[in-house]
Amino acid sequence: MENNLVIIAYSIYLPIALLLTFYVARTLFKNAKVFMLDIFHGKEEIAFATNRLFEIGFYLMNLGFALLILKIRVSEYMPFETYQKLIETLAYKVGGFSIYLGVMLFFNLMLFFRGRRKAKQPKPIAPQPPIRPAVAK
Amino acid sequence: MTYNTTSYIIYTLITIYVIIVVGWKCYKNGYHYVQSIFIEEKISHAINNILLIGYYLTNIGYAITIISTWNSITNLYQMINELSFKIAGIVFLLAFMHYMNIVVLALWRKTSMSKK
Repeated sequence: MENNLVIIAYSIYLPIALLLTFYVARTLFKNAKVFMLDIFHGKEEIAFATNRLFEIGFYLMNLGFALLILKIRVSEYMPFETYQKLIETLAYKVGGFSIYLGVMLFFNLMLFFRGRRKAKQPKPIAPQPPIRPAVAK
Repeated sequence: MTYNTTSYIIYTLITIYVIIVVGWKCYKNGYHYVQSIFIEEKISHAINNILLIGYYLTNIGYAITIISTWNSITNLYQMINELSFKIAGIVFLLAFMHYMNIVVLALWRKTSMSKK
């Protein structure tokens, strides 16, 4: 019975976490295209390539974290045998993962802002070699 | 179905409804603020969308996480007490964050206006 409940909890948690990650990543990087175009001054190829790379990183990081916190510890002191316990554990895991996703989203947004600010700054002028005074012959 | 599970369901439904409605209103009305800071229409739409998603994720996540800290409930009287107390907690938190948001936006707008 105990193990069955844990399996049920896993099979509810996994689809929720995966779908949430996919949905968030899709929405974030659909909107990020505008930022990327702005950062790379409208060069579409490199902007979309960078967007794609960021997206892959986002997926890897969040799916990895989702799988990392999957495990539910069951022991004599922490029994897992009622549906109430199931709901509580699931709520804690899904909620915590959701907060983590939100923080990651804001972190990515911060990166975009930084990039945009850097791209808008005028490029510093390279130091010129000193001009030698012409020597009169 | 114990009192606890029943109250979890009621709690989740009410808080998620409140969070979604408040988020949608902020999304609609906050757009003008964002646009007055960033000027360009495309980028302010993008920022507004991302902010909405982040808001939903963190708030619904927090509201759901709180479920794991409830005491056990044995009768209807306790259930109503607990429910109203927990929902009030979430709603107060939302109100506090809402006012903080308004203050931050107003200050930001002031500084970005004074730069021009």
